[in-house]
This record gives sequence, structure tokens and C-alpha cells, in this order.
Amino acid sequence: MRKLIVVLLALSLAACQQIWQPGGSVFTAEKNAFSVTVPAGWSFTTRAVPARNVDLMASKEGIFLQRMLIEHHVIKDPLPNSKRTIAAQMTPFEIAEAVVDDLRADRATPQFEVNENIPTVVGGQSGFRLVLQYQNADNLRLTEIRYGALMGDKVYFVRFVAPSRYYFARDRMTFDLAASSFKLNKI
Amino acid sequence: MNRACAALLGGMVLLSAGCATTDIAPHSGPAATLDADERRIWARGREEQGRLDASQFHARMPEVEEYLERIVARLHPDPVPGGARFRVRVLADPTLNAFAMPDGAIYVHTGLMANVENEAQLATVLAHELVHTLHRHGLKGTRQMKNQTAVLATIGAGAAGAGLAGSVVQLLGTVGTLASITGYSRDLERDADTEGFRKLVAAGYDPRESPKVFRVLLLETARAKAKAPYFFSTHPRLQERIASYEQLIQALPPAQLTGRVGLEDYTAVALPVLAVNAESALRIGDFDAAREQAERFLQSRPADPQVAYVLAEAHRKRDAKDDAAKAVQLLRDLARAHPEFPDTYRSLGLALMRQNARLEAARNFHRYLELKPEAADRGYVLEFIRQCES
Repeated sequence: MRKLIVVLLALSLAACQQIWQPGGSVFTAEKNAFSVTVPAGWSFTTRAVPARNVDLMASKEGIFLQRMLIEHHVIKDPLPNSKRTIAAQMTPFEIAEAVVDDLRADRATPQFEVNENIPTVVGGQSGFRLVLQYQNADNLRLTEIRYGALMGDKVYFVRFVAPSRYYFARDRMTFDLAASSFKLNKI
Repeated sequence: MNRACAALLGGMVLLSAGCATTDIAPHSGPAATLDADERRIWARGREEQGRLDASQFHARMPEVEEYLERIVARLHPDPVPGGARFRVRVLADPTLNAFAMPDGAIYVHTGLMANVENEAQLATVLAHELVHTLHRHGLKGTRQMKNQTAVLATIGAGAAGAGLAGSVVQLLGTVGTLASITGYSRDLERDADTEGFRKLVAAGYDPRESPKVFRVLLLETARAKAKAPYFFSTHPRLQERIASYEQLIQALPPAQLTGRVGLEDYTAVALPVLAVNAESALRIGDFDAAREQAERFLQSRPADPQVAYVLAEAHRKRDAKDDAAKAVQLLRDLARAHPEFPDTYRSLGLALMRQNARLEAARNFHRYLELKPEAADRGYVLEFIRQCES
């Protein structure tokens, strides 16, 4: 019995440790789906994330102050707030339109605005870059940069979310550098 | 007393302390006081209302809201007890839902309004919702949940201390608000059906319309394959509502099977709701609903450029057989009738690009940027122009 308790405790500790890991190095996703350089001084996790589609979350001082997220959406599934699905033959513009419409339908982000929607290369693929603003549940104004690109049967998103006041402007350059290191790989 | 007995007794004491009564009478008298947990539920509900009212989802249609409030006043002409105040807001949301907050704020989705057929059907829904407020279902639901979690908290108290219980209690304020949106327990819903039906009949509405509203919603739910956890958009609950109202009708004397239907008033007021809902349906990708409701609206107001644009976009985005040609035709008509409306030219450019009419597409993209030089999607449009002109 005592041995079992020791084993369980050891397993619990193993599960707890390294949920957050230090950044400053290249992170390669499972099956080499993508790689990204997590900024030095930031921490990242692939496990303390409630949503299944979040592959990586990184932050410098805490996720409420700034967070970088790498997510994927399987295109056969409807987008979370609408019925819309993304088709493999859609252009980045059409995908961006569908994503914006879906985000606009999210009750959790009132005062939603699109400040920018431009074509760009994301992880080596044709994609889009959105700059969005909305409020969170505490009526805090947030700004988000969201890159998106289709790879195989998934749309990958690289997101940076921070309060519009101070933190967004302060950490945006750091995120831009990290986003430019993002590479999607064919698997 | 052995240790097991002591633990059991301790648990029972904790349990009885944690349980709150769910035998709650409806509010009586305008000055009735609220219990402490009820005040928390109201406060949380008001926070949510503040967010909804300030959001892009609030349709801001004062005439429609006044009309809905007149129906509510007809259904409940007495002073509202307990400090509650009935007011109605319309949310631009194509899903089939309506909900009442514990303090009397009632929210009706444009999707619901666009799908009911007359005022009596709308009154059926409103009567059901206002009973949730009058009978304090938010508080009842919260206390039921609290008592269930009190059992869990008691079981875990020895091991976990107050941590779990504390976090559970923090969540409780949201339960009443959440249930008001997603639906209450079966007993509370049946109570709202019964009392709501009584109010509907007392207000002079035709009770035969009441199950019809749920049949209409059932058809729409099947068409849209809705899976949202909303009260009015799940099949079993809609079936229960139909059965419940049919039983109530059967119990009425034949002389009472008549009354106001309110088709004309409803049709006049609901028209702008169709426009808002068509746009919302377009946004969530329900192109069939967007097209159908835009067409219904345009039958009455064919010159409305915003809804004509929604119709064209529904065709362009649906992209089924003949949709592209239809979209081009509608957008050309719109550009002729309203040459100052920039988005028409962007959509026309996109539709023409798909038809490989590149030069005409480029001309329309140029026109779009002339009219909207600061467009958020300017980068794309410049790229489209480059592709069309190369």
C-alpha cells in the first residue's frame, strides 16, 4: 500500500512539473507539424491549455497580460461560433472572411472590430493577418494579431492577445519576431 | 461514539448548514425583499445585461422593443413584484432563443422573431419567459445546484478544506444567469409552460397558436440542424413544449379556444427584424436562411440597399449552382441603384473574378478602393487588382 502511494505521488509530481517551460529556444510540435522560436524571457506550455485545439501557449508575465497561442482548426469541423466550415480550396481571403464572421458571432467578445485584414505568408504558406479589437468578460479592451494559414486539413493560427493599453504595444515586436520564426511543415 | 459515527454526524451537520430551501414562493408585492443569494444572482445578471446591451449583438430596435414590451404588459398587467421590471431587448442572433434574466430583463433573438408567425406565438414565448422571472426560477435553479454541490463540498471538506467549496460558491452567482439562457430543469420549464399559458389565455390571445410556435421552431431547427444548447433549439425540449401546450389546450373549455392572433401588427413590426436576422444568418454561414429572409424583406421594401446586398452576398458565398451569376446580377443592379455603396464593388469584383471576368473585376476593385481608401482589406484588394491586370 505504501509503495502504491509513493508511486502515485511520484506520478503526480511528474505530471505537475514542467507544465510551464522557459522560452528562448525553438519548439517543435508533435510530428513536426510546426516549429516556432518562443521568445527568451517568456514561458510556454503545451499542457496547461483547456482547449483541445491549442498546441502551444506562451506568456511573459501571465496570460492575462499577454499571450501567444498557436492553434489549429480541422477544416471539416464547423468554426466554433458559427456553422461555417472551411474548404481546402478556399483562398486565404475567403478563410479570413469566414474566421472574421465566426469571431464576430462570439458573444464572449463584444465590441468586436477588424482593424486590418491583409494577405501575408504564414509559416511558409499563403495566409492572412488580422488585427482585431474586442472586450473580454471584465470589459477590458484587448487587441489581437491573428495570423492564419491552411496546411493540409488544418488551418493554423498564430495569435497574440494583450490588453490594448500598454501591453499590446510593448510586447508586439517580440511577438512579431516569434511569428516570423513560425514554420509549417508538411506531415 | 466511534469515529465513523462522528464523521457521519459532522457531515450531516455540514450538509444541513449548506442546504438552502428550494421551496420558494413567487414574489409578492412590489416591495418584497431579495435574499442575499438572490441579490447576487441579480447583480450578476445585470453585469451580463450591461455587456449585452453595449455589444454589437444588441439590435437597437426601439420600436420593436416597445412592441414586445406592450405584449409583456398585456400578459402581465399588474405591478411587477419584487422590484423586478420587465423590459425587452432584441439580440441580433439568428439562433432560436429567448431568455429572461431574474430581474425581468427579457432578451429575444432575431432568429426567434423571424421564425414565429404572429403575435400570439410570440406572446406564448414571452409569457413563458416572464414566468421564469415572476416565479424566481433563477434563484430556485441556483439553490438546487448549491444543494447538490453542498453534498460534494461536505464529502470533500475533510480532505480539501475550504478550497473547493470556496471556488464552487464563487461560481454559484453565475448559475441563475446561465440557466436563464440555456434552460431550466424540467419541473421549472413545465411551471413556466403552465403559468405562461394561463397568462396567454387571460390576455386574450388565441391559445391554439401556442403549440404552433414550437412546431415552427422544430421545423427550423431541423432545417438548420441546430445543435446549440438553447432552450428553443433542442428537439426533446421542443417536443416536450408541444406536448405540454397541447395538454393545456385540451383542458380548456371550447369557448376559450379563440382570441387575438395579431398577424398584421406582428408582420409590420417584424419586418426590420428580418433584415437584421438575414445579416446575422449570413455572418454565421446560414446562407439559405439569409437568402430566404432577405427575399421576404425585399418583397415589402425592394429598394433597401443593405438587405439587397445581404441577398447578393448570400448567393455569392453559398456558391451553389447559378449562385455566382445571380450574385453578379444582383450586385450590378445594386451598383446602378446605389453607386455610393462601396462594398458592392468589392463583392462584384470577387464574383466576377470567380467567373474569370478579370478586367471588369479589376474596375470594380478600383472603384471600391476609391470609395473606401482606408478599407481594412485594402491589401487583399490591391493583390486582386494585380492578379486581374497581370
